[in-house]
Amino acid sequence: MKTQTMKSHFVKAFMLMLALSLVLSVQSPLLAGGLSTDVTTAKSNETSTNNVLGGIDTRVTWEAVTEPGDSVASIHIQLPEGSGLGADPTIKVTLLRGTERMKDMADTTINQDDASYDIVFTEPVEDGIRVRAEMYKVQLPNVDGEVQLTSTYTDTKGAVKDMGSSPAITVTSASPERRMADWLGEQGWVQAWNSVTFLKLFLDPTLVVQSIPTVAIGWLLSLMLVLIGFPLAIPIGLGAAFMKISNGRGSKILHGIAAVYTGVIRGTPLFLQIYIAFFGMPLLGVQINEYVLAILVLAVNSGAYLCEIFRAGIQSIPKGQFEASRSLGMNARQTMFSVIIPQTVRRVIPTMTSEFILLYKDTSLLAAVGVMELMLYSKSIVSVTGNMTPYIVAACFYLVVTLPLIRVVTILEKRLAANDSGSQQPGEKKAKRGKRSQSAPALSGVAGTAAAAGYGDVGMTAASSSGEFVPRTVSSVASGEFTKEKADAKYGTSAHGAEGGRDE
Amino acid sequence: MSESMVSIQHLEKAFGDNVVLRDVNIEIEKGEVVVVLGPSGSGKSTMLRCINLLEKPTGGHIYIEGQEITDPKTNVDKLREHVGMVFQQFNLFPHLTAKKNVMLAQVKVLKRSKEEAERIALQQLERVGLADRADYLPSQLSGGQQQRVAIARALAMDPHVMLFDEATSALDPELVRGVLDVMRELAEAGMTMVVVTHEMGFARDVADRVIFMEGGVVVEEGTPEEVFDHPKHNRTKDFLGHLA
Repeated sequence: MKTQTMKSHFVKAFMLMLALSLVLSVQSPLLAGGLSTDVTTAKSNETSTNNVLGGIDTRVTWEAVTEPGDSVASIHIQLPEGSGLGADPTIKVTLLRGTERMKDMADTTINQDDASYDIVFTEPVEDGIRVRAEMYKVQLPNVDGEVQLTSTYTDTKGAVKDMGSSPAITVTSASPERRMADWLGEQGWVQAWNSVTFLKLFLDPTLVVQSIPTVAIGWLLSLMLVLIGFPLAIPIGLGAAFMKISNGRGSKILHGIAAVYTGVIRGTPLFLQIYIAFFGMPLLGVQINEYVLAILVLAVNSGAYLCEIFRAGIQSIPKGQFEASRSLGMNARQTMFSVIIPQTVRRVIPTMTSEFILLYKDTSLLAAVGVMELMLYSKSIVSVTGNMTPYIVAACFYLVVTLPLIRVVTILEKRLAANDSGSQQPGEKKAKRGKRSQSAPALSGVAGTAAAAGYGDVGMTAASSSGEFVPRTVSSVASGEFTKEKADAKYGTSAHGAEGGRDE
Repeated sequence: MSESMVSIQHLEKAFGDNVVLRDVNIEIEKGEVVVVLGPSGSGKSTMLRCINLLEKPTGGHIYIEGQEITDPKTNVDKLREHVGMVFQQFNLFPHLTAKKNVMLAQVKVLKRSKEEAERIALQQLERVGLADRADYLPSQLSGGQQQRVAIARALAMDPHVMLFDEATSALDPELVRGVLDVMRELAEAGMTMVVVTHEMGFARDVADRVIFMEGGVVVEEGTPEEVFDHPKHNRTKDFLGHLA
């Protein structure tokens, strides 16, 4: 029995508490003083999202409705702690009865020091009126999370009443570059610069600052694609080159495979190959990470070009080198790896570098299938801002890599050409020259025997000395065979032309 | 019968329809120095290159120390270990120093240790008078020096026979002597040598036997005195007459 009464006591106590809390909750607005904030919003100030960024100008809207019996003389609105005001902040107060806009009856004061506003009504605001305050150039705290405005009002009797906290505003912290851009935008010289439409459209300083971090991510991704793809292309190219120069049993088949591979890859645009890979693989039910697939496409594509570069390089090594090596008892493999390849490497490095540059630039084609890289990252900003500046920033990111490499290619080619021409005549004179340049002997010996043997890298040198980085043509010019083919083709065309002429 | 070092029997070589060698028969004894003379295009270089199969004979047989090298089953690489060859264009490996040129095949083919290969390399470079050039790259050496390195490179493989294919033809005249001196010393040391050359003085002094080839056949052979002083064939006389 005792336990039962205990139980009923508990139930009674519980009921009482429930009733009390109900009464309290109903009364609380009254206790707070009648006027209560029901809306606080901030306008998004980030172009590509709906985020409200802290530390950057935004517009905050605050609304409250008066209750029966209210008579409000003034309102004080305090921005969240850590807020600031931008240049020339303003506040606009509107009074609404239902949807009807009342005549403005308020004087406003903005307190810069503590980021607060005072609204003093010329006539007391009675019940049922919505007070809307729109505060411009508000800089909310630069934090991630929710912030609230606090406000108080004074009634006609002079009593100050707390209105409690307003509904929360979700703030995202602004990146340093965004704030930097915001700051730049207020500078006189930037405004003067941007007043020229052309300059603003193509090189808006605030957008330069804003795009750099984003485009840099794309840059790193592009670099990653090419830095993994290109090394993968080297064994592919080397393998195909070996197939092409193989002789012995089954070499016809190897020649065929390599010829189809290089022919198809070099004969079709990379753009098309990307499309086929990216749209064809899913059709086959093969799901590959897009970056992995991108790397594979780049490697297979570049491998075909490298194959021709390597083949031409290997074939530019004088026959005497093979013969000398074989006559010493070294087998084909030993000859290839100890004698031929080390010499080839020095010769093909300039052309390989050029191929690297091309492949790096070609990563941009992957944007077409949505692989996020340098091009697409910059495009994402352009599509939001409608300004070309991010593309210019992207161009700079490409150039940061390509320009130094182009310079390297030029230097290497010059050195190679100098070595080729310098070793035409074996003699004491050259020996003396050699002794002087002993500090850099590694490269100086490259083409000695080649030139002495009287054949070899003529095509390569000719192509190289043009000083341009056009490996795709270089590689075809580099081998005698290809030059011949080209000549034949030319001859063929002109012959056709002549025939055509006769027909007419 | 004492086994010949090199035995060439009915050797034939044709490049397509162009017959370069026909029915060439040459026996070379151990320690013998044979000099092959003839106008350019006579097939003497091709004959020499057939001996280590840089050219594949289209007919006939070649035996080296009794082993038939023209047999398809022969391990060509193994054969070449014992046949040293010196080329007109030296063909040193341009990316390697003189010493490393001499070391490479020792390590790769004879599987000698680096240390041993280096010791032998320096020894051979010393022999050709280039010990002080061991760390030079070929491009830093004169043609004559390069050719002597090439000889050292071949010698380091302990060849049983050395083939010289116009070893001095690409050299400036003042550089020829150094190379010939090395070859002469080699001959005196008892090396079996087959030398294709235009150096008549060398042929006369050093050769045990002189072979005169023209048009892909052996026209005449004999001691230097026989061939140079009393040539039997008119073609030999013409050739020698032109030179004189």
